[in-house]
Amino acid sequence: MAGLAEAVTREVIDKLPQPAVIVKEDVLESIAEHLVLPDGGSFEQAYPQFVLSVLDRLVPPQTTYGAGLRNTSSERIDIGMTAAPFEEESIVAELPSGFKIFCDEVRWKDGGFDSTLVVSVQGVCSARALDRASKQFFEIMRALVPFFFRQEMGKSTDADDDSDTTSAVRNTVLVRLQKCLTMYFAPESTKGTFQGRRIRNAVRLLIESDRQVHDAVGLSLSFAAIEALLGEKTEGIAEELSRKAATLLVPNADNRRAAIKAIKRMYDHRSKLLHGERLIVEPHARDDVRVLAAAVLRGVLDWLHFAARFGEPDAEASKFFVDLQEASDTGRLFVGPSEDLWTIPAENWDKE
Amino acid sequence: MTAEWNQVLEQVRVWLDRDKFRTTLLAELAREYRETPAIWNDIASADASATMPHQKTSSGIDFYR
Repeated sequence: MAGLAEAVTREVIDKLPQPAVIVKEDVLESIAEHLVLPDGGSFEQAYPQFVLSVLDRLVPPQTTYGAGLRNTSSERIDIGMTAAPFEEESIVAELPSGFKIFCDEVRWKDGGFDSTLVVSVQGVCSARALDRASKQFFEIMRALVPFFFRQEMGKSTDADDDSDTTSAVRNTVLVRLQKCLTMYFAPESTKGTFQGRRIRNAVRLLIESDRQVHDAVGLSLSFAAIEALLGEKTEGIAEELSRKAATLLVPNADNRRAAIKAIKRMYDHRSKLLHGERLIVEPHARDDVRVLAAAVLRGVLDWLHFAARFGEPDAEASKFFVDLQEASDTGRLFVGPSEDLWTIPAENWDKE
Repeated sequence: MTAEWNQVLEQVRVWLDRDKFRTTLLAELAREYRETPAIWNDIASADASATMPHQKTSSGIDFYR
């Protein structure tokens, strides 16, 4: 069964645009129904029936799925702001395999001070594929969208639109989400690029970080996400990550020193927690490292956007690291991020 | 929607109908059958044991929750 499942995955599921519209269980089930033949049965005659059986599982969304598969209360996407994040009944993202994510509804809690998203997923796909893809979409959105909005809020420029999210903010968040989803589900052939590995790994680690009950583990996984985006070395990681993150996030070289020191202290805190030298996590530490990881992801996305505008849509990570090293060595601005992305309060990490 | 549906069906059909997959699958089936005849019981019971995410209704599958 394992070999068969592996062959199905390798030869069919992995070849389809991701997330795939069928899953291996669908194919195995159709094999069980049509290709487990009695003695003397003709494989060649049975095969077309098997193919039809798999295709029968792919159902157009409007007729069967109703309004698609919605996130449940346990999968809710809390945005944490007073404005409506997306317009209701609008498309939030679309994947190459045809899955679409819609914003169905914005719900309010805490007396209207906090919004939470009800989204639905539709696609021409099997029931299992819809379930699997939806779970992935919901997790990714929970890990990314609140931070994307947090990074953009307070920058509204629409004079007559104080309470609602401006279309500029909304579009910026939509573009970043679409980019991350596209990279997350990019084909394996793109490995070596940011698209192929680093962003996918970072998003996975951020999802896992948010899932953790224990602050120390959550904090450590957020650092792992930063390492997924910026790491190249196997030694001197604290030094490497703090220098690179500070260069990426802080345009002014004079201010970078304080950021480097703060990040090193965060990393030191992480190490002491993991090595057992400390048992108590500083109250702000987990949130600060999570915000740092979200800012690093934002910085990388900004750089990719910048590179694409200058004719390099598939810019390699190696080019990013060369540019980052140069900015770090010379103290110059790292070109790409659109603004100062350092938002962690200095006083949180100004002591040993 | 019909065009989109047809496009997805065609995409899946192409990968299922490839000679390589047919051959690979056939070879895998034959090999696994030779090695572990009990495998057929596992495959045949896949329908019963597979975790279906949704409850089936008389009109099909209720995907809306």
